[in-house]
Amino acid sequence: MHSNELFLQDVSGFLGGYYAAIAIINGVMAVLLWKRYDSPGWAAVWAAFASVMMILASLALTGTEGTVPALPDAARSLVNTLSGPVNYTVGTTVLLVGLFVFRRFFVKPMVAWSLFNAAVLLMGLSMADQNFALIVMKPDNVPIVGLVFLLAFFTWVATKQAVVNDERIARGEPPMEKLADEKVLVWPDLVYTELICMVAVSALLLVWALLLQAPLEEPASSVKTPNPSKAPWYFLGLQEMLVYFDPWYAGVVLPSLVIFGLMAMPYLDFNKKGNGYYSISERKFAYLTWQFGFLELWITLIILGTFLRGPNWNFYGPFEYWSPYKVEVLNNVDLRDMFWVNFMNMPRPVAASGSPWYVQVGTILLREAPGLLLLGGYLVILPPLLAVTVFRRYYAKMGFIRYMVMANLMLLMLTLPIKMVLRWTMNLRYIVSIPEISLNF
Amino acid sequence: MPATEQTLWNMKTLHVVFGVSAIGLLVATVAMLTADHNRPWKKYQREFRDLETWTTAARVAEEDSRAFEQRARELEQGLAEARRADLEPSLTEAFLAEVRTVAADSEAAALAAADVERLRGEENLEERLVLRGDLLQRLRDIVDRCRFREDLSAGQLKLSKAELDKARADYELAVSDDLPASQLDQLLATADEVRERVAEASRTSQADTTHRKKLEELLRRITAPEDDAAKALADHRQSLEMITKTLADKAPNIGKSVLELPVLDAFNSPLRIDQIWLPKLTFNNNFRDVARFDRCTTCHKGIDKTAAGAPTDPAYPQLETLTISLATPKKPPLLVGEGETEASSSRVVTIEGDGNRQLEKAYGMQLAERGLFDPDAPTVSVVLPESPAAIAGLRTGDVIESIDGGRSYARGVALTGLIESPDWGRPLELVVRRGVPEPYSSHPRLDLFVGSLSPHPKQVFGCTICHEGQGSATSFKWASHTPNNPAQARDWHDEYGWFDNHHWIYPMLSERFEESSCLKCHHQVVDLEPSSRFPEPPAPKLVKGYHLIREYGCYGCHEINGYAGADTRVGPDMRLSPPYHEVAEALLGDPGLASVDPAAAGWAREVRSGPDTRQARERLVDLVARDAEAGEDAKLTPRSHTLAPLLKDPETPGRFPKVGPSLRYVASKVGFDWLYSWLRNPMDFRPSTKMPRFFGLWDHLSGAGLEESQRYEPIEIRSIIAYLQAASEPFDYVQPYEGITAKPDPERGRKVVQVRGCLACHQHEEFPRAMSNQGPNLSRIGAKMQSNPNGAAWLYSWLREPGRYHPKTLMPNVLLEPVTLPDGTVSDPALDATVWLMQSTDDWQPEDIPAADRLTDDERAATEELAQLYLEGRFTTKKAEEYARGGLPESMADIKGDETMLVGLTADSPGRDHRLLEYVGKKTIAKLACYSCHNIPGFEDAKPAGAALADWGRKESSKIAFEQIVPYLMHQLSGHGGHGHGSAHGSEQDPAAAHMSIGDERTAGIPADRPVAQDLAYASGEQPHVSPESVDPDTGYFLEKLLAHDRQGFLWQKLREPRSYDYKKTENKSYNERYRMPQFPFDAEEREAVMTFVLGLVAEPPAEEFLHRPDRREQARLDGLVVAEQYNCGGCHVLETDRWDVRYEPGELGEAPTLADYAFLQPHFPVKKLEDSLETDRRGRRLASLHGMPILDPETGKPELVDQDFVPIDREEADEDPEIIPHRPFMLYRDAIVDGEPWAVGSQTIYVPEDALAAGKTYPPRGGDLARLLFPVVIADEKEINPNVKPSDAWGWLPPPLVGEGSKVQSGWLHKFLLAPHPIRPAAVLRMPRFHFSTQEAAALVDYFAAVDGAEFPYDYDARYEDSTLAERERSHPGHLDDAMKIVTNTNYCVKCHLLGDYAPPGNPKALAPQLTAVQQRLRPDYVHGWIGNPKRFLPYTGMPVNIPFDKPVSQELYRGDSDQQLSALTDLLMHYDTFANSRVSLEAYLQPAEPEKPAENNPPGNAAPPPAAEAENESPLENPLRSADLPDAGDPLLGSSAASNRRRPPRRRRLE
Repeated sequence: MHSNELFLQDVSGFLGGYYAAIAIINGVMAVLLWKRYDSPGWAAVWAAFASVMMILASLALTGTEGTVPALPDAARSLVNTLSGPVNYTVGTTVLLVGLFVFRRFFVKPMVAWSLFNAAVLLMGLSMADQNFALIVMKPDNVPIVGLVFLLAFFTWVATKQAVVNDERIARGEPPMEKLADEKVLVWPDLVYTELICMVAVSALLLVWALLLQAPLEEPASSVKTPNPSKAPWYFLGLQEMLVYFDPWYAGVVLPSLVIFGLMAMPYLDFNKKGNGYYSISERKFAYLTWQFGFLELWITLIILGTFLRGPNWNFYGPFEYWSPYKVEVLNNVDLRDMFWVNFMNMPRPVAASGSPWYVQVGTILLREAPGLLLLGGYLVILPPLLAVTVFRRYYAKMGFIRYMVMANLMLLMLTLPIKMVLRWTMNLRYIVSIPEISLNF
Repeated sequence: MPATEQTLWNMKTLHVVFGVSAIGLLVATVAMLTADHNRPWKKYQREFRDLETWTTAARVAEEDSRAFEQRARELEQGLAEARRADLEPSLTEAFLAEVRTVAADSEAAALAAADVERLRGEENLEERLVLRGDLLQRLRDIVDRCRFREDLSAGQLKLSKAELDKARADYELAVSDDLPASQLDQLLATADEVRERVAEASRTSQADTTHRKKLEELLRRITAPEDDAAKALADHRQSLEMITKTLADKAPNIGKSVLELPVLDAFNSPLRIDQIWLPKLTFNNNFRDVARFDRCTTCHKGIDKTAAGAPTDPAYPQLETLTISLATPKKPPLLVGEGETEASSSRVVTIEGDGNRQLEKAYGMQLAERGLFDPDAPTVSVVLPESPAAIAGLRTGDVIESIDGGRSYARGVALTGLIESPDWGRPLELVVRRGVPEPYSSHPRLDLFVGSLSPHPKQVFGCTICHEGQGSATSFKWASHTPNNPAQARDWHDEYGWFDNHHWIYPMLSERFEESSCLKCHHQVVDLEPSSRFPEPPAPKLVKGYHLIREYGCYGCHEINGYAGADTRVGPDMRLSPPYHEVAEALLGDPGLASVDPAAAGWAREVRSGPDTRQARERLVDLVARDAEAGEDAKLTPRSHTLAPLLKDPETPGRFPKVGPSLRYVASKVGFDWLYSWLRNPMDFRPSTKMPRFFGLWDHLSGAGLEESQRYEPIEIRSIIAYLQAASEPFDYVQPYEGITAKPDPERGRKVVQVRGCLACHQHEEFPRAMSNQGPNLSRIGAKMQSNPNGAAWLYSWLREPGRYHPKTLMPNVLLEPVTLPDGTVSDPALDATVWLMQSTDDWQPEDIPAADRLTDDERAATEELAQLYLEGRFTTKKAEEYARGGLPESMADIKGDETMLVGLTADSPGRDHRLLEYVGKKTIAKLACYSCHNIPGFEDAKPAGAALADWGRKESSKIAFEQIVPYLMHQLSGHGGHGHGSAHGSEQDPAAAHMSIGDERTAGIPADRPVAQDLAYASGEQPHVSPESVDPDTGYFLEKLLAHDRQGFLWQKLREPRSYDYKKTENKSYNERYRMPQFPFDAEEREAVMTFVLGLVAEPPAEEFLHRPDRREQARLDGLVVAEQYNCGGCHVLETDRWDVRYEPGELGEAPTLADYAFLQPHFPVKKLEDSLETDRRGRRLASLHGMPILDPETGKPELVDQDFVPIDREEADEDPEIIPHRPFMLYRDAIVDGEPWAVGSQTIYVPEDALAAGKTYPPRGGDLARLLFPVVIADEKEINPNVKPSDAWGWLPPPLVGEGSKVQSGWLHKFLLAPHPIRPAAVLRMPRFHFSTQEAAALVDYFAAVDGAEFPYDYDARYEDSTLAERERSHPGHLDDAMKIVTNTNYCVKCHLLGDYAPPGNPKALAPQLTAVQQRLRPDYVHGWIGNPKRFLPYTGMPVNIPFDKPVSQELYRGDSDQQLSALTDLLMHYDTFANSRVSLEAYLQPAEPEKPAENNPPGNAAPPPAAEAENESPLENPLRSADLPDAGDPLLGSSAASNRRRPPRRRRLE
């Protein structure tokens, strides 16, 4: 058991290096801005930031409590108190929407650089918290942290390209990609770069293997599962869905639909624009649907699953100790009970024992009628309704089958956020619950 | 678009990028290889190799020292002398004579003879050497020539044989060709001629060979002296050569160094991982058992290295610092140079050269040029045998840290201290650091572990099966080492990056619990006690824990089941024995029992207290089952029907008793006041009690929870008393003896308590030397018994017949019978003892006791609330409230369970309060599981209340409720602990609380509120700043474990303050849901011992072949040991004697006694053992292992101390007078070897100088405390009568040592004796009491004694038992037994002291010896034979003389024959005494003349009339061969001894004079 002092001693070397690294790249950035981009103002800003980072680095190296830069306790508790699946999901949604709406601002290099710096600084400050570090520095999780930054970077690059292209297209110029579409040589342009990549990646893997040893986990046991039992990181989105859906749906139907949807996409896409170059304005619907599905329904759920889900699959704030004794209220109610018991104020229909099968089936159907109707309405009525309203243009262009496939895929994708919202707001467990045949939705 | 030379990327940039990444890869690869090169184990292996090289070099230096050279020179000189000496004239003469027999050599012989003459006359040594060499060469030449001739003649022989073959073949061919006879004759003649030649050649060849062999042998004998000398020299050099070779092998060389270079060492380095593969010692990986790979020895290279010449001593001991006194010579060690004499050199000594020559001269030691781990450290490299350094105990590798208080940090400084500055003649005090740091050190117990001679060799057991941890790891942190305290954790963390890897579920056991894993295989635990093979305790802590668990009866609540299924042992089995006697007592209380079957009560009584109850139990079970089938007509209560099945034999019954006394008749024993005080806090009455505390444990409580406890606990105490008293059954007190005329006298009572065995188990403040805590301390017993009006009667009953009150009590019946006092009155010792004990109150009084017979309103309300709480378990709250006030209505009369107690109770019924209390009491007893230790009516079938412990050592921490224990401890440790101290629980007054203060005595000196700037991850901001490192190491260790949610921490706190897990939990619990475990009065050490045991319970036995399966004898020893420990046999008897392994200087222990005795009594040792005993160690001392007893001072009872003249002295005298050499006299109980000579038991006292004792080792005896305690007492008593009493006689009056008991007594007799002891030795001051053994327990003890003595068991056989043997003797010596009887009855011999039948010798009763007629049943024939031969050989203290010396038979008038024959005759008589006596008694007078009747076929011989003699005699031997074989010859005098023949002989009767 590490006491905090021991922990700080352990982590001080890393933190010192970390802040020093931030200082160096900001220094390099300052030099570049000053020399190459002739932007002495920004150069000064980042030079100043770099020197602050150097100070932090030296403070961090002391390894004693109070001097190692850290978030104040109050801020940590506040973050912990405010965190929760609702705030997290809503927050990330708002963030993504904001990033989208103000994308022209965020793609500015200096804004992005500031954001990057803010992120790494926040990360560094958080690392001085034992609970945070315990999760983030777990050898399993380190690559995920890296991936988060990579993903942010590539999203930013793509968005920047798209914004630039959109502006160019608005100005009537061809997109950037059209300017450089000549063919290149296999040697050296392809093979040489591949060789370089191979060498670089080998070096990286070696260093990685030396620095981050494979973690030893407890031996598998059929009678005692690890708490929390987590799927591999790339499936954590799926695992998060299990909180809201029955396993057959979250674990089988939805993943299959994801694959099916990805395969169907080229056939559903009728928009000829945006082929071979980045663009947002020319294919807003496609862009938004994709980004919502990928970033919101996949990536953020992975992050949630990796860093914020702890023992008993409870939600833990980033600075919260993962106590296995934390208990959350989980008294969720099925829709049928809401309807029959709460709304109609009567017991839900139950077939007398020993009654013939058709009576039993009938009773079940009657019992589940509210859910079935709702679901039926959602999947059967909503697509035509949308076809004549919001998606009229799409419907016309896509034809019946393509439209229906698209609409249903989209509606099914939306069941996840809808169900999440219903869970948070109404403690709704299942819309349709037929435990007799293990079918819940 | 066509391809152009234009590339997308700038090639120059790409080259740069490529170059950079290639360099990156190179750097990464180098980093990888560096990491590989720097793996920590490689460093350890290199270091260890240096260590070995250094040590071997030191050995070489030692062997190569001057002493070695000296010896070599001596040997060389010997060789030279041998070479210069004259040849033995007779041998040379013989040689030359032999030579001369061959004519061809006569000249050579003449020359040689001349040489011999020349040599004889030559004076010049050099010349002699040359001459002698020449002469020997000449002789060798002669032999060579002889060999040459021999070869020649052999060749000749071969040739002629071939010719013969040809001649024969020619002849045979001729025959087959049918040649004429003449030719055949000629051929035959040729063949004969050739055959003649062959014969001739053969003779020559044989003569040559004989001649050569003779010469060779003579020459060998001539050169033998010089050959032997040469061989001695070669041998002497060889040992050095061998070590030198080892050194060469071990020392680094170029080849190895190259292979170990970075990068290269990744491929085929001489440094490599060592692993031990253990396919059968698997570890459990949940899904399957996986073979163990222990790589621990990769770093712990020296773990099994033994010191040279000592197969169980570690070669590299663990680090320790010792102080050594090094004698200095009187004069400084001046090196006498040329032309200087020692006398002239009185100048100041200076160091010359490296100083080693001076060191060697002065101390016999050298200092290494370079230290081992620290090059500058003054490290001893050479210690010469028997030098001052060796005598002081210095060893190679010792680092001298200081000399006479001055620090010696470097070699030069040490040299100055040793050579220049000593005050010559005065010893120097050296502080020496010995041993090597981890991981290089050897296992400290190589006799037990790892060593190739140990029971757990490294290759078979590996490491992690005992130590746990991750054996496959090759680095410190991944091996899951476990620190022993927080400071070590911190050090390891800083040094090795250690962390608590909780993912490895088998972390290494920390040092404090390393004995735990012994339990995996040693399920019986007692096999881990010291034994003759391993006198050094193998696992003291674990064994202590086991005994504590036995003493405190933990297994009563926590089942420790050693079985998983009927045959699979998984660990120690410590289950409660089946409650047979409790059930029997319950059945006896059933009024219907007698009406079911009149015999039933008898059976039940047998089950209650008989030794073997199986048959009676089976009958009772059947009986009750039949009664139960009767349904409505059943005569027994339903309770009896429920209980009776418990009398059946379970599959494998438990064997441990409930530890508390029976409470079935408690109302007859103690009163309310005492019980109240006792239950409230047992330590108040008896601070040393084993009863845990149930009430007043409030440290963790506050607020409402505390108030609840304060309100309810007094009621619970009262209710328990109410139930116990109400359920108590009437007790039939033992009535005093009739005819007691003496007035009870407490003074006599005191003596009774002192000498009649009470002190073997009990303590009393008046006898401070009695230390046993087997039974309760009796100092306040009077105060307890006075609380009951019948207390004295109860105490009297208990002393007389404890089994009447508690049939399975460990307290034996000490058989106190009336005693006639010198004044002729008759006293009852039990009554005297009762009177005295009733006065032993220590002025103790119960305090703050509420009125017994009424409740205040508040108490009544509390009682009702408690009743309601219990009733709520069955009824709704409203009903429960109603029933608690007004009882259950009559209509519910048939309700099951305890609630029946409340049926018909109304708010105003008389005694209502009491009945309500009884109800609450029964519920409380069930809640607190009082029945786990006590026999309580109504709880005969109750189940253990606590968690089973069989696999607690692996208990998942996720299954352990740690609750709020960390915050509680934090509060407590930071000094804020103990909110709700009740007034009764002030820690000052409360011994229990003082006992359990945090960290106990070890915390002293650490201020509780010491601010520590460390927080805990688990702690929220509210926690006080306390951390594991801020408290004492032990508390810190467990605190750390608690923080890590480790089961060790949980267990620790559970044993310290079991209720503290309710801290801040009571608020959300009902009163009855609180934790119930009581607090045991363990101190920190005991707590860890108990934990060591519990943590070892893992229920995962390794593969069969690794389980400890002792052989039959060892198993019998262990089984018996369990019983012996349970009943405290060792309280009185010595079971194993002292063992002194003394290291003495040759001759120091005196001359070996001359041993003239019977051949069969001579001590016999293998010659090798005798030779080995002559070996001296480096200090010049020899080792002798002495088994026996130190002779005690008759006045103090302490071991006697004498001076060199064997005059007794005081310790002070010995300390003051330097002239006195204190010795300790010792009486041998086992033959010993001293200075190569055997010392026989009983020969003489051996006087051991104290320094020889201090240089060796002593092991305490097992048992015999009471005997030692009473030794001075009985002597003092006897002195009043007989001032000349001999101290050693006193042993004959005390509980005898049972060493040799197994080979002494017959198993059958001992078994009966244990179950029903009778007096044997008239002189004994106390009798063997009667224990409440079962037959199995008695049998286990019998087998134990036989097993430890190597005697036959369970049955013993001896040819002397046979009548035929007797007949044989009688034939060779008619009147064999009659004559032997003459010796017995001669008043000079046996009957001088021994009782014989109804004859008792006159004189002092203290001098009386045991009844001889009983010998036949009691003793083994071999023993009797030996004993009569020389009793002292068996019992060194015995007063019995040697009656028939081996060389001086007794008068031939008594028995004609030599000593041996007389001895045998006496033995035969004693072993056939009944036969002898029967032959002299006629039963005719008692027998009615037999009616003639048909012979019954199956009549047992004793009952039916024998077949008419005539018939038997007429029967043909052919028809019944057995009969003719069985019946002795009619003329045989032995017929007289056959019972059948008695009737045909006139009665012969003999009276003793």
